[in-house]
Amino acid sequence: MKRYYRCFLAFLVVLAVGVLIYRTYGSPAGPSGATRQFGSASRAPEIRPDYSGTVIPANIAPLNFAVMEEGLQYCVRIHSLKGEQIEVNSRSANITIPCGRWRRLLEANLGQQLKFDILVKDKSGQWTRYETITNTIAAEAIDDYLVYRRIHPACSAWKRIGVYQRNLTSFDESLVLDNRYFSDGCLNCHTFCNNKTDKMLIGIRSVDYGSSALLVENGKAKKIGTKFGYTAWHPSGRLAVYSINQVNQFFHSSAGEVRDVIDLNSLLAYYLDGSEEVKTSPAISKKDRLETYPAWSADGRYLYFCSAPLTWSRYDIIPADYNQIKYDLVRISYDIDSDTWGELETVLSAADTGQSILLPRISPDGRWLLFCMCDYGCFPVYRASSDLYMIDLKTAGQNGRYEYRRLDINSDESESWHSWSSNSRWIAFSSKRGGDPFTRSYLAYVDGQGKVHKPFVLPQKDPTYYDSCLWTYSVPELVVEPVRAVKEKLGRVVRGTEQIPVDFPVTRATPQVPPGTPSGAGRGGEKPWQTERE
Amino acid sequence: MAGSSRKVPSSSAIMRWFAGSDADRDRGGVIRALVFFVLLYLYLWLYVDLRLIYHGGGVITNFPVFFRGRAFFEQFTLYPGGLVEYAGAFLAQLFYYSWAGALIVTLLAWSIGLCIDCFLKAADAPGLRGLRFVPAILLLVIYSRYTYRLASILALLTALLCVCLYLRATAGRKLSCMVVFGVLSAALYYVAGGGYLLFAAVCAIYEILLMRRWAMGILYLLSGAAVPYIGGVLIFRVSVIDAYSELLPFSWKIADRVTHEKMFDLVYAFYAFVLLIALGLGLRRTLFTNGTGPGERRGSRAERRTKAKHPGLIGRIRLSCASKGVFRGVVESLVLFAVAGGAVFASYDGKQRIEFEVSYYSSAQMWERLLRSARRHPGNHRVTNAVNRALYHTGRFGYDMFSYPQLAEGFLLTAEKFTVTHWDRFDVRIELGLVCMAENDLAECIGMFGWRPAILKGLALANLVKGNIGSARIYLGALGKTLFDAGWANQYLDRLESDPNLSTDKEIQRLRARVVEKDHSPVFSDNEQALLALLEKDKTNRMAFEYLMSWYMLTRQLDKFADNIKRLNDFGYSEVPRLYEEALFVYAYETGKSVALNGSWGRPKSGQRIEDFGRIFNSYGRNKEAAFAELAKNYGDSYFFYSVYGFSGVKN
Repeated sequence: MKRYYRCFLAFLVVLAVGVLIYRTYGSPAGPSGATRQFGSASRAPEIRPDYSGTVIPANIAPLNFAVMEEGLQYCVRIHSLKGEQIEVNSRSANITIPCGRWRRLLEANLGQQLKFDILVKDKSGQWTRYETITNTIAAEAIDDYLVYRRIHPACSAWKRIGVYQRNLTSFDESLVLDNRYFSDGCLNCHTFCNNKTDKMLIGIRSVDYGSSALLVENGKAKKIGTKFGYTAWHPSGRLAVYSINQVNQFFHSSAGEVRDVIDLNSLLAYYLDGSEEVKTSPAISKKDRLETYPAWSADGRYLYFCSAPLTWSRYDIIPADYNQIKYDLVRISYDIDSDTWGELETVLSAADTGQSILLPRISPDGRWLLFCMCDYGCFPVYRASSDLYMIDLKTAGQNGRYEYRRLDINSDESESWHSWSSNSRWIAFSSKRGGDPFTRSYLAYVDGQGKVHKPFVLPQKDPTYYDSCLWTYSVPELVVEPVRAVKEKLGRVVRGTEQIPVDFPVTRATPQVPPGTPSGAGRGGEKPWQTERE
Repeated sequence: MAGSSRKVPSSSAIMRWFAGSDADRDRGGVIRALVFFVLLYLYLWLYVDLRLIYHGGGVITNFPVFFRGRAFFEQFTLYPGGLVEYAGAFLAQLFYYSWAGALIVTLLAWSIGLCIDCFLKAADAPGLRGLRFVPAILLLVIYSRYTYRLASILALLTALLCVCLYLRATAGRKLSCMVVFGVLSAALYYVAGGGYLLFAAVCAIYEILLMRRWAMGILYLLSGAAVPYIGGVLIFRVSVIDAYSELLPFSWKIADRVTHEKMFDLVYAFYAFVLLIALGLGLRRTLFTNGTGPGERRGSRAERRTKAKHPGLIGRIRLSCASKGVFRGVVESLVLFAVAGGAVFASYDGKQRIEFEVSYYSSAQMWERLLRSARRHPGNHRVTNAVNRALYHTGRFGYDMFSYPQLAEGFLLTAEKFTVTHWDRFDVRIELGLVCMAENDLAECIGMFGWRPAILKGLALANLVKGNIGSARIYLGALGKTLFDAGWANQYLDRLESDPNLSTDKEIQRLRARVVEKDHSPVFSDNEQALLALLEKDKTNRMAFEYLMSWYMLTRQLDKFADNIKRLNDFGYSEVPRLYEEALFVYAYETGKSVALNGSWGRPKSGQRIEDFGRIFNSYGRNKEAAFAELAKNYGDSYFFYSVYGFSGVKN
């Protein structure tokens, strides 16, 4: 026994000495001596991710980055008007900023500029100082959590689909629910009410457990016995409008993005939370239209959604003119007290814009309407042409004209899946600018005039994370608090037999089936393995 | 070790283990064990060929990926069992070299045997030391069936090592036993997750049934229930199910990814075997002794001598055998090798092995070996697809395709029934120029097989060809963190720095030149449209041409075949391939039309062949069944035969 104890003790001593040596010599000294002479580069250094010229929230996790300049040693000084400067010295080009000091510096300098001075030591031992990189610290904080779906780029096999939440003030990521809890089913869009997590809906599709919607309300999870597509909670939290989509996937033999989808049929319905009842209205479920992507106005008096003409009679084949399908943006008034719908109004027509208008999202203060436009179809994340646009609803309310503008933050690749922060000052969106098919979550500041500032990618602890990250991140939703429901419990509810029954006469839009259509076609012919959407 | 504190040099400990029991602690025992493990190693290395498991053959879905770097490692530190899983993932990569993989598996088998031997000795059951070969035989079966189970088995080994440590470190005092158990419990649970349960169970059985320390045994059993809850649920915040099952064969994470359900039982058998040994020895002690623990089990030397002098019937038989050491050694060796051989024989599936081989050779572009292997296979769609690719690359597609079984519905695996056969077609699609289709297959493969290097490589290549440099960089970045493909990836990343468009890369330029430009969905499912679209883009795409002609022959669309035969002139063939000539003869015979070609076709030999074929067929009164044997023997690889019988591959 004594021999073992001696070995163990020796191991501990060696370990302690190793740690001591590392602490003493592991971090190189920076060029901080007064006698040091710096060379000067008349340009800003290239850093990755690109955290330059952006506006950042004070509560964001450290923007760790890699200096893309060749050198033997790196020194980064981060400073602002007030507070202690942060100096990071590293032999690696990867700069990891200490979390606590970063937070203190940002909180002390709201509305001020945040500067990165970067110095690089070359092989001759000479330090070169690059031009300062400047960012701005916004006065307004971003919601603390971002909930997104993390999946493989292609997912017909339904492997490893998960909804995760990321604490934006740190690098903590945790699983809300993944499909391994219910035999590799699928879980789609997660929807919150007023940027809070006390009301949440997740769409579930499963070969073993059927299609359903998982409703999490005040910590309790229930299963609603019907599939919810794109969903929008009424600001009152009393109802949720959702789409029913007959999605068909097809492929391009020559295109940047191979996959494509089309809604061969769709309509909107709504779930009344109190009475556990599902309804629809003729105005939002027209036989000759495809309705999708509902979004409520901030006051809950209008439902905005996208609508396109349905010109085909068969629902089992992709129409030849699939690339001519373009959605209009419409709205309809709604009185929640009397549960009555008003008249449809066209907000923006595809005929006017020449593009398909999709994914409307209105800022919680009711001022801004953010949406996508792409060359055709209903699924902007698969269209490289998809860009973000904005309408000032206040101005529109005054002059009756919905004037839209393309945002400067767009790239050549797809931008989509945008959401607002609770204070209407931040947006999160998905972009493929780093390389299709990889969607990443970006955050951008929206100032009082509606100018959307240069976005920055969601920071990661490892600054080179995105260089080899094979996940796609989609549907980033900003929320003020974490999802507290336990994943095991959610999984149990999905697997369970207990569910809120939904007696809804229409399970698909336009239920009539043309003569001669094979059995199953036109009713969706649920083939859950066939389609998955990012 | 309880009851035995004899110190021996480590080298002799190994020798002693090889020798086995006291009775056969001789040269024979050493030789037997050495021969067994050397044979095991050679069998795994040369016959099973563990690199086939690394490759996966589009069948093994649970083979782990491994990336170099701290970030990848860190994610394994966040849950109990992660470290063993990480170690398993690393060791699995060494299967890339068959010899290294075989060495790992052999060492694993040897180590588990060593641990079992240690337990048997602690339980004073040297006569049962033959059982230490059982894990090796189980491993033999698992790998003979081309399944992957390393993580669960490593967890078992870790637990057994802790059992041995416990047995060695406990000198008998209860307090020190419990301290050692506690320390090992915490460490083992973190390292091996659910494997800890085995450790707790074996220690509890040891204490209760062998040492008769009931209180300690029950405490250990309780700790088996408590440690996973405290460590897993309360500290690491994993689910209750994960806390108790991580790395165990019935863990839903493992069960979820297991392809061969029939193999599932074997890993259970591993765990059950260890528990049964412990239980069996405990019960043996309880039932056949007077309740003495190992510390007092042997009695005095005088007593044992007395027993030895007056043995019972069984004892006399044992003594008789022991006295004939050589005979006993031979019998034991024969039994051991017979059992191992029987296990291999029972688990052997030659067809499956060939399928793995074909898939591997196809991926490694070892065409001749692929074709040789395929000769031994009765044929299926996956094998045929690989064979056709090999035939094209060896310039024999137009000569030998009907030497192998051909099935039109499996051609290029585009039919609806092959919707999920992504693994077997991405290579051929990239080579043909159907890069979007290949990219889609590869992306689906990621979902099915994980981030395997072969898939990442394919995706990087597809995106480089398409000019999607951003995504190519990401795939290359990930590939650059793998163990064996990092060089290829880094080379491309460097090249992209100096030449972002890869304009000087001949292979990329060649593939770009043939990428289909027609954006037409049916191309995904219609061979003819896809191949014509390729030829429309690049009329010098010889591969597309040969596949198109093969397709027409297979589907007997000889009018289209005859229409397209003139394309031969675009490719500089030195002669018209034999099967093309035969198809033209059949076409001319059936339609009465002649086919004009620049250059000549219709060599006298081919004309002679169709005449002979017709003569034999007519000699049997045009009775297909009657003429089959003779036609198959002489013309089984001809298009004449296929056009009459509708199948091929009969002249092997």
